[in-house]
Amino acid sequence: MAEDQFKLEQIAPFRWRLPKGSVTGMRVPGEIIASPEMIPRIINDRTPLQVANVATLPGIVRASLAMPDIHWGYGFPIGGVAAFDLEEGIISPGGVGYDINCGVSLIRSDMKAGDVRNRIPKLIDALFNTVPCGVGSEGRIKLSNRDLNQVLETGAGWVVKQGLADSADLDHMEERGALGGGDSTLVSNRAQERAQRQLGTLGSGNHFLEIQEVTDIYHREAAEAFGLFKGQMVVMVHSGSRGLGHQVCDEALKVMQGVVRRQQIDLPDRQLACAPFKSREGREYFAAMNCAANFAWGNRLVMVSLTRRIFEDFFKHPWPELGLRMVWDVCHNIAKVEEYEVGGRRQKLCVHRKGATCAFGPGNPTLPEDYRQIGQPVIIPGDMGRASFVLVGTDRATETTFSSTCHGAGRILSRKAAVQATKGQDIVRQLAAKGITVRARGRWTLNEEVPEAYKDVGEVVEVVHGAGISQKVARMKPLGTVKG
Amino acid sequence: MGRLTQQLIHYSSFINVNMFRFVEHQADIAVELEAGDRKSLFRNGLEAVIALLTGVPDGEGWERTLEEIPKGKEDIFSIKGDGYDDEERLVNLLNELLNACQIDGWWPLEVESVNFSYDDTVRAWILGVRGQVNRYFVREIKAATYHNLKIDTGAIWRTKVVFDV
Repeated sequence: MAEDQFKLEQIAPFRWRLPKGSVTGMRVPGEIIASPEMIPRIINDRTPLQVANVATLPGIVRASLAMPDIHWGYGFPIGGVAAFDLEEGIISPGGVGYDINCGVSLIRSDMKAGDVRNRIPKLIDALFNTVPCGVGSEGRIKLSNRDLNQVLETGAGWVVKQGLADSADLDHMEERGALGGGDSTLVSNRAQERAQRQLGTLGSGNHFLEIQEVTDIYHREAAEAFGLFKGQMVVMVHSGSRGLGHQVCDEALKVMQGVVRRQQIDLPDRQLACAPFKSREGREYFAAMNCAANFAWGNRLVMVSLTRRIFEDFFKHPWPELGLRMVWDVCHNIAKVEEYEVGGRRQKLCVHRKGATCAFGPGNPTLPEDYRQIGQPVIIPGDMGRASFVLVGTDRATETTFSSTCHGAGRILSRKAAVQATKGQDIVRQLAAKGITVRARGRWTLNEEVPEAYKDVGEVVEVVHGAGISQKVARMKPLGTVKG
Repeated sequence: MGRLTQQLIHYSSFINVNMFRFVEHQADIAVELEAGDRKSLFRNGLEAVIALLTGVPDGEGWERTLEEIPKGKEDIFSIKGDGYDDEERLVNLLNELLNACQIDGWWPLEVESVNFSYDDTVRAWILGVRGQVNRYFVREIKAATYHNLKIDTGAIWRTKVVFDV
């Protein structure tokens, strides 16, 4: 598809349609949530092509969707959402990505950032020295085969069972920190081997652990429900399923290349390899993916637990007295079975979110009682120099985007371009001048992850707020960041 | 002259003749491979993975010094890539190398040889150092992907591989 074929039609404020026929074989139109100012860049990046490619997949319903943090991925675009009929549709490992259940935990506190600002560098040092991070990082927990199987099948529940976290944490996690369809016997030995020493590790790349200050409250009622207030110190953890998830995805893609050939599924990009959801290969991938997702929830909760221990040592109070409660934990790379109205009838769908976040609105029965009237918290991490946000899900998201919203800022510079643009710069010092303490394990991590490499997450958030698929609740600015 | 110094010279020569080249990819890392024949194309793919993991030197700003790379007893390890076609074989071979390094603890020094067997399975033998090497790698690479992967054959063999990082 040449660039002049990206004929996006504005169908509502912040909503743009990519008509069926933009590429051969599209079964549904594409739909992109964006501001008019974002459209030229989106077209220039050619990401509508990836939106259109997803629209060719069997069983897709309503539209191939993209959130405003959309950017060029591999196969599916990053920021893509696609829902497939369970009977006739497919499941695609590429629609979830290699880092299965990459996601974010947000922990609140009773502390005001202003009271601890001078101590942030030492606190960040303590976190950096305790939470394993960086390439190939290994944790303190060496899982036996039995324990690993339990993590794979019960996720965050295993962490609670070990006494490392509180059962109340589970109430404030998407899916209570575990998807029920996991079958650890379908996770290969190789994948399990990768997981055995990686529970409670941050990893590298864009993953981080960050101390933040709440600078703005936009939605008082939701902020109160979530335990957030202006000036508050909060902690955000961004990580995923580590090597286990990569292995599960890699192995499934290999299997599905064969399925695509046998079933003669016509794909515009081999990375879109898939299998019918109901096929043996589809069901086996789904079960293994659920296990990887469960591992990721366990992984983040262990890091939450480590963070609490460090705060206890640092502030000389037990963590409950410091108010270090889980606000919410979201995943943004996942395929889940959810029910929506399509064409006037309720239907179970396999919703793929690749770089997109679930955003259930008020009244959703899966939400815990304390959030049910207000809606689901949506945690949106930004870059290490600007801001992150808490949003709340809406009914509009349920009606238009399969309860999905954006997941972050989205890159605008490649890693190579970011390294070249920042060569010779002292990024630690530059951020310190803005009052942000940064510690990183990798030699080039800070260059690759420099704030200028990302869109301003504030612009992305304004779009999802304007489109009504989530509402702004709070803005946080970074005070200190640990990077891998 | 030590083996690691030889490694530096070896990579410099590869970069000079442009057998692999890192190209722009917004979220991840892409590499263009070019070679005179099939075997060399696969070899260049392996060399690119080694450069991505070790940063010794890749000519793109991720270089590192000899002090920053692990030392130990050298040995040769083998990997293989099977598949329906060369695209699958290439992805599988590159992912096998990633696994050998990131899971089995090999620090790769150089590609010794690449061969195709009667059933077209590709095998490669890599010289490396084994140990606790993970922390020395420049970055974690999740996988070589199939994204828009197509090997052009002819007088010049060409392809572009996108890695998820």
